[in-house]
Amino acid sequence: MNKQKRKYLWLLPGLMLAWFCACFLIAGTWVITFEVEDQNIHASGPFYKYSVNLNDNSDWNDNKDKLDNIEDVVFTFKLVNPGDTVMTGQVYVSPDSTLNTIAEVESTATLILDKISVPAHETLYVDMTHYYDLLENFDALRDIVKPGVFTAYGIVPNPIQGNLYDAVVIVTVSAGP
Amino acid sequence: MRKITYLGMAVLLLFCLTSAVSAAKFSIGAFGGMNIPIIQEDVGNGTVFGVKGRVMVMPFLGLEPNFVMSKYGDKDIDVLEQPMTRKGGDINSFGLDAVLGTFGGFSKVHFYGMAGVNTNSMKRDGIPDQTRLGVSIGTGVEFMAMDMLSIEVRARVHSISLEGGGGRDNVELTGGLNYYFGPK
Repeated sequence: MNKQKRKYLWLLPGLMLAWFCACFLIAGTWVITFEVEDQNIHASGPFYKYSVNLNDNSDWNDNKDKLDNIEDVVFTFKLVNPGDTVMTGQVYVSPDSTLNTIAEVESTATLILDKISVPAHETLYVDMTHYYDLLENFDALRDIVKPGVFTAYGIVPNPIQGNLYDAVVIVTVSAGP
Repeated sequence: MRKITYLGMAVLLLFCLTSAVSAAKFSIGAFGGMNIPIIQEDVGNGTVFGVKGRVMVMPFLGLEPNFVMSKYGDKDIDVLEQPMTRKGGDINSFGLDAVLGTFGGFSKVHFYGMAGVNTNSMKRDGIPDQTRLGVSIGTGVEFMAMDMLSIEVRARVHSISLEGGGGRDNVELTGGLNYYFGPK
């Protein structure tokens, strides 16, 4: 190979870079924030539920056809315990929105948040840091969320008054061309 | 993480020893800079540091085993009009790049392109760890400050596949020093 030709060899990887960029860099990761319609839930029983339909969200609709992967799912909320005793609870998710008893939920839904505990007359703020301390069954949660429609079930073993505020579901998706 | 570090160092050492035995020109170097995620709304800019060797197998072609530690920065996500911080993450990568450029001759400035493959160990709070394959491609310029010492800057696109599909693409902008051994 003569010197003149060799001088321009470094251009070859440059052309490869352009090709690589064109092929791969169109993929990306998007964060979709879904505010639950009825964000403030006042529960006086041991059982409550809310359904999430991500198809109502324009960001989800923009990306769902090219969705590769659900990378992360986060639930954030504030839970107020106005009672005199400690409030404990769990959150389950299921693609089935027709579950109506604790027994049905515990036998068929997937437990995702366990050991929720709110001392008497205090507020628990589950943010993006605290959420991961409570999270269980992450892979199953991603599979349930992927179709975009699911129902979250809250179970409070002792039926005391509790108020749930500012419930938001944050889904991180990876989507390609 | 520790296993990957040891494996990376072992392979680096092996390359250097092999080169020394065969009296080929080779270098070891360290670099650092910025890791810039491309179209990733859940992470911010972070840092990147690494070590590498370069074995010249032909006057215009070298092989670079490398060990790279990258970080993603934290990202504030608006939730009900309030910022909520999602922590970044770490990527430890071991790979091999081929570099092709103007290394021969008497010029003190070498331009080159590079492409390679790597294995990446990814850690992030709340998400199971993943070890995934990746590819990289980039370009750089190296200035021979002394006979055996060079300064270089490079831009490398590092693309990592994800479990379940999709990928993460990052641009690593780095500067570093290389020390050469072997024949001039």
